[in-house]
Amino acid sequence: MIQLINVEKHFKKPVRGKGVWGMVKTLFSRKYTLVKAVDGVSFDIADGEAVGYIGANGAGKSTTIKMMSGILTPSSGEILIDGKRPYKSKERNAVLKNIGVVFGQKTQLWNDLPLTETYDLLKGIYDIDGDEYKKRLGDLVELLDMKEFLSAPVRTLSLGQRMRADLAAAMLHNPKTLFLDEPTIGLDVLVKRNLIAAIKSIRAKYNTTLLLTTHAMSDIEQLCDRVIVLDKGKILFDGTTDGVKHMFGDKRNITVMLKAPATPDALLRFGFAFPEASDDLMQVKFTVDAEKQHVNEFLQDVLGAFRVEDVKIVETDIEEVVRKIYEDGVTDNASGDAETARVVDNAGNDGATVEDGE
Amino acid sequence: MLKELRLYPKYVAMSVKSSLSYKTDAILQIISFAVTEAVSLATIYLIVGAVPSVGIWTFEALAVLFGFTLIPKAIDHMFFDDLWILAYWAVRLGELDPYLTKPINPLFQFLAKTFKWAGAGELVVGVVIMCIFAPQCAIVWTASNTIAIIVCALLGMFVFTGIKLLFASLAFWVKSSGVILNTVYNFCNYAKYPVRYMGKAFMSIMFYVVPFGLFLYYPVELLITGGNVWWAALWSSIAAVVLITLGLFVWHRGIRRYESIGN
Repeated sequence: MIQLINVEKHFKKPVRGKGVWGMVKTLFSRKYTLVKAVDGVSFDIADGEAVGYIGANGAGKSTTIKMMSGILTPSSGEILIDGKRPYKSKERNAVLKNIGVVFGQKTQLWNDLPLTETYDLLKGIYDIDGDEYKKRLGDLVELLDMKEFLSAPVRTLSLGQRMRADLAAAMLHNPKTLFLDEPTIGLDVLVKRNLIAAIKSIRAKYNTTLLLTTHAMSDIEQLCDRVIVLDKGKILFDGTTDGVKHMFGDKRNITVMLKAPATPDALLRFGFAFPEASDDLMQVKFTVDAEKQHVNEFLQDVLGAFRVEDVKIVETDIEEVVRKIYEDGVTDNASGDAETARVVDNAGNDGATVEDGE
Repeated sequence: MLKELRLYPKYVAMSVKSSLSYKTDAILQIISFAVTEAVSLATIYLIVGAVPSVGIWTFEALAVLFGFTLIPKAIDHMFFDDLWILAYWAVRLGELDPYLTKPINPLFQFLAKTFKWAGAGELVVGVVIMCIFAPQCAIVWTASNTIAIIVCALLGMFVFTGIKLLFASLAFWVKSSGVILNTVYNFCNYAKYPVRYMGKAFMSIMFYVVPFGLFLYYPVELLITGGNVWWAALWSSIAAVVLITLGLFVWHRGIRRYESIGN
């Protein structure tokens, strides 16, 4: 059980002046911008859940994961993982024993040594029992298909192999919770698909709770039942993966290629469905909300009204929805106040409001 | 703490294996540090040859002092060299992340992962110089002062480590404290010469502010003048406890401010 209660993380950034003189002034200036990387985030994750944590670059995803995995201390609020706080020195080890972390852009493996050496060290760090270790490593090597590069120095591995190796390193001690921060970054399509499949089978086997950040929505669709959308440090959406897809209705984009140019009359008949025709009127696009209208009836109308060559129906994908969420914002608290940050000097007096530089 | 001690040999073994995958580099490191130190001893020889000896400080005595200062420095260099990385890059580049997600002491992990061969080179040079020149000085070797000087060397390592930890941890506030650390660390070079003749003000600084004089120079002075070396051991242990405590305190305060880096 993971609980985040009104968690905030602020970073101080010195206010930099322009040019050489500005740089000199920065050295002696005590003014800085307060950037709220995470701004009042609360959510619960139950055991065994798989949650996708998404947001644009700089939304605060990694910062949240870093606070949950003991790297950063929250500025305020509380993070409880099975009732313990990872950022308190007395509770730290108890939390960290039960989590595994993979950062897509950093590795925890020893660069010049074979993988087995790193794993052997982890065995000591996590006090893994000898037989248990052998069995688990065997299982993971098989699941992640790592046999061929198990004894090669890590620096010779490809990115995809390294990612799998890192994943195995994070899973060796049988953690209850697995944090994956952009695990598929930089991987090609095929490697990515295999990795996702492997994560899926690991979860099926060990029932690990998963929190995953990614920019690839397909990862989320395949792995997660729940999505939390973060923007500028605040939660914009928290719900099921289906829910986020249908947030703006269950939209279908229907593109119709015609044998003859569409007549204005025929187009007018579909005025309610917002048709959008190409310049030569040979192609018309409709957007249908499947919750309000039966798609098959609509299609029959279309087939009756036009001489149709071909039809293409596309379901709105989660990516599009998320883009819409970023652009518009759906909740009230998503409005501009997170964009601005205060300039504070060390005495704690509020100064002028400036735009956050990021 | 027990688990850390138990794992330490494993870390050292891995670090040694890692560096052996670049054998030439390891050998060159040892040789280059040994050569550097040998050359600076030669410099002292040239200087001492040009001036008459100062009090008890003949060239042989100076060589013993030189050799002794190398030993604690070399041991610290072998085992705790990554404090330089903490000071220069680790905070700024967010390199502490992986150590903070493991259920053992992050500072231990960070320091245990590197074993420096170059330090071994320095250690050998230091010991060899002492063995060559100590018999040529009028030192009365007893079991007591032999043990005391060894204790001083080991305590000296902790003082070095404490000073490095203290100033390297400032990086949590200033992002890169390498230059500060380097400035302070380089004061140890003055302890290779008779600090007592450097003027009252500077001597006080070397004894009580940046205590290199206290734990590097003072034991050798007592050894050569026939004083009780255990006094130096006492002062060294005080310096070691104070500086390690201060260093750990600043590290613990600092790690809470650690910001990692964005992706």
